[in-house]
Amino acid sequence: MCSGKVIDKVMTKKTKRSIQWVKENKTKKYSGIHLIAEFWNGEIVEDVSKMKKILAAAVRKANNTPLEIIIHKFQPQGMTGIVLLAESHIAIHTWPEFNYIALDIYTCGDKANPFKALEYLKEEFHPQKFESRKLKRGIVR
Amino acid sequence: MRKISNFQFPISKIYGKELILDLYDCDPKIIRSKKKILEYSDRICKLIKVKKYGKAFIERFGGSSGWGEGYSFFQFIEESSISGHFIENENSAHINIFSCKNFGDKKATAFTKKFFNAKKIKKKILIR
Repeated sequence: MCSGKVIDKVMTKKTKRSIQWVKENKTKKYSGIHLIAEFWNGEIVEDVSKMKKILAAAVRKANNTPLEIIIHKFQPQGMTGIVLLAESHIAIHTWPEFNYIALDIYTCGDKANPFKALEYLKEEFHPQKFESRKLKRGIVR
Repeated sequence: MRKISNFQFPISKIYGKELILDLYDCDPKIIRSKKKILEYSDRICKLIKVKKYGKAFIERFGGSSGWGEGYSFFQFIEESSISGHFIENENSAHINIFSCKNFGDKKATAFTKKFFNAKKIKKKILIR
């Protein structure tokens, strides 16, 4: 995995009553970006080979390095899929009974762009409702 | 069959809980040991009472610049999945436990910290 840098400029008061503000530069390093997304009422894929193709395409869009794609199909319905990446992983869990998909895209480095994978998966599954959040993992000052 | 959440909230609104752990200053010998990582995967599943599906996948990845080398593992569980990524030159570990069955996140966090002998841990819980 690779590191990234975030430079934040923070304004802090000198003293409680002071009107003078001081700028501080803080450099933070982090290991990777973890995107967590929820798709509701979209297309649910039950075919394993189709899901593999979708995940493989998402990996290419994100410019990740895929190592292995593994899918487990539950009975009577539902699927968990994982793409092992050199840059971490993409995981997908489907709940057809609730028309819900949970996605985790965890990747690092300047080369990979997890947002492109997310956009692609959103187009493929076209959920009616969508939420996502971004986490920075392994923040170290 | 995939186990359905047993949360108190209506099933239609909650599908699962994800515990996200970032551990720092871990024991270097443990995070560099494939055997110990697989042991962790077995023991955490037993602790939080989830059912493993198959063996854990574990691979070693190397950063091209020398930074970021370490193991990554993934364990399918009937309730979703457990994954982990280890960065050896920082002695850090990044673990995700996602389960559609409720589990003791405090217990899981304490166990994980103790297992990897981490000096610092950051925890986040997401209800999905």
